[in-house]
Amino acid sequence: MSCPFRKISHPSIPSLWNRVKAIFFPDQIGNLDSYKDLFPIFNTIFDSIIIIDEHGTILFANQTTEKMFGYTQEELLGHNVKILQPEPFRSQHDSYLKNYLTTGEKKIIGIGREVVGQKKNGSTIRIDLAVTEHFIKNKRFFTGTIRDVTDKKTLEDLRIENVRMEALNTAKNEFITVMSHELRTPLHAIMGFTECLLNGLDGPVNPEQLKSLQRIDHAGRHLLGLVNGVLELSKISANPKKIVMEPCNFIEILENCLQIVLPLAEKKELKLEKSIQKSPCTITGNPESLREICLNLLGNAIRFTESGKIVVTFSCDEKQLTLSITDTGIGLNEQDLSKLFIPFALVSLKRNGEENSFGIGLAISKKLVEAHGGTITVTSKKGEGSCFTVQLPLQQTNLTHPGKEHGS
Amino acid sequence: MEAKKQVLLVEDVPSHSILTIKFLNHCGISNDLVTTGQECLSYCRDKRPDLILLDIGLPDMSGIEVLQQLRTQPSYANLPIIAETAHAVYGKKEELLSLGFTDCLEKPFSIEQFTTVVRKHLPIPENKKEAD
Repeated sequence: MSCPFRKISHPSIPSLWNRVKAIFFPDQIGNLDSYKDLFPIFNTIFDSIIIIDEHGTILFANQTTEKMFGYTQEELLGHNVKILQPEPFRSQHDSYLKNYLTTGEKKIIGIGREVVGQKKNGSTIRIDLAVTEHFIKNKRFFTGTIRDVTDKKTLEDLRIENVRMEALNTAKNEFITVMSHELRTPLHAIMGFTECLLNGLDGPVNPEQLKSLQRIDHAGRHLLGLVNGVLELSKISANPKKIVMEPCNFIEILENCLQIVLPLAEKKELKLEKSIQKSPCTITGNPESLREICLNLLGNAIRFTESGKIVVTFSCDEKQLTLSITDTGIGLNEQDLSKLFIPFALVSLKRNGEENSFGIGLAISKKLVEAHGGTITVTSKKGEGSCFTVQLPLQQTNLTHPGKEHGS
Repeated sequence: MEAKKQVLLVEDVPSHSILTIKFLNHCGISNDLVTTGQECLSYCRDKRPDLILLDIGLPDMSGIEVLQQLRTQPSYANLPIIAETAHAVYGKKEELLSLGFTDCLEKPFSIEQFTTVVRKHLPIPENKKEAD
């Protein structure tokens, strides 16, 4: 059995088989049919097997080759193997073969390597290619086995990318932590000395100076809020699972937040209407986070509403709670809506003649809602108002907190 | 009349030490200032303050190391030692308390926050503060 690949007969292409026999084994025609029984072996192999002559012409391709590259046997046999390669390899293949035949310089033969193949539809696949050279009756042939490793490689790439992203994220969080510390150090002096002056620790200040000091104090608090916000966002992004969950009375938290914002609404002469269901609602969550979400949404509604009202509706069934906060404020166009939850995204709303950003509050709220397995959605119309809706599951599916019915 | 309370402030950033001293004076608490961990340790060998305000980020050693060395001495085992830090990392305060700090002030802190914490661990007569 000098040539085990001779059994190239394909049930559907007997004529091709005869053609191949004629090209390949011209002196053996007539004897090959006795090997036909061996042929199915090639088609049980998951790898593609291709045999070419020293010009690159395909003499044999098994069934896997058809599946892998999308060509039929007719489209493969008698054609140059370079059709299975994308550019620039396709154009280089002839000279590569010629170079090998004259110099013996090997790039793949006997070595094997990962290359790119091209399917009939033009898409590329990543393949492991191994080629052996062999002679039959002094005729030179090359047999290649090809394994499609696209999926494996894609997975590997994803894994590498994932590791890279994790490292990047860790570096980012470290940077934010350090930056927060660096900013706090001068901020402590700015805010502290302002407070000293405001409290008369350094002697009396006149009313105009007092106003200036109050502005510094206000700006200092704002800056501290931003520093804390960035730190918090990075903290939740880094590890949302670190948030400690416990049973909480959501209505109590909401009512408490409403009390806090009520004076702000009254100051702007805005009506604060509420429609809150009476029956208790216990959610497994982090009370501080829930409070923050409520305060942020209520605060925004008041901040961006000049006249009219804020309506707070709350309901809860056995599975989830729904909180909606609707305002009659400035509203948002569609373009701005899409950027609403991106930290510091600039939006077209202008206040005091300055380009404004949403800051970081909504980005944090969204992360906090998501950490609780919930969703936050918004509908809005420019000039008419906005409606934010938060839905939270009462139980975290990935957490098991048995027992306690009510939190402290 | 009890003896006047003495606080040792360990702080290397000049603006922060000036500020804290203003806060302490406001509360009517006399104080001494050192700016490194080594100075703090040698101060504590000679005198015993009633409370220590210890910054975490000192130039020669960390405030945590200073605390741990002090806590090995019987006379400092239960002395109120309050950490001051600008590191507001999640769980930082809990970590500092578990290491043996009595309390923790996160910078920036207000006069009110400062007074509340210091008073909690160093009772001061009300009239002292008002007398200023």
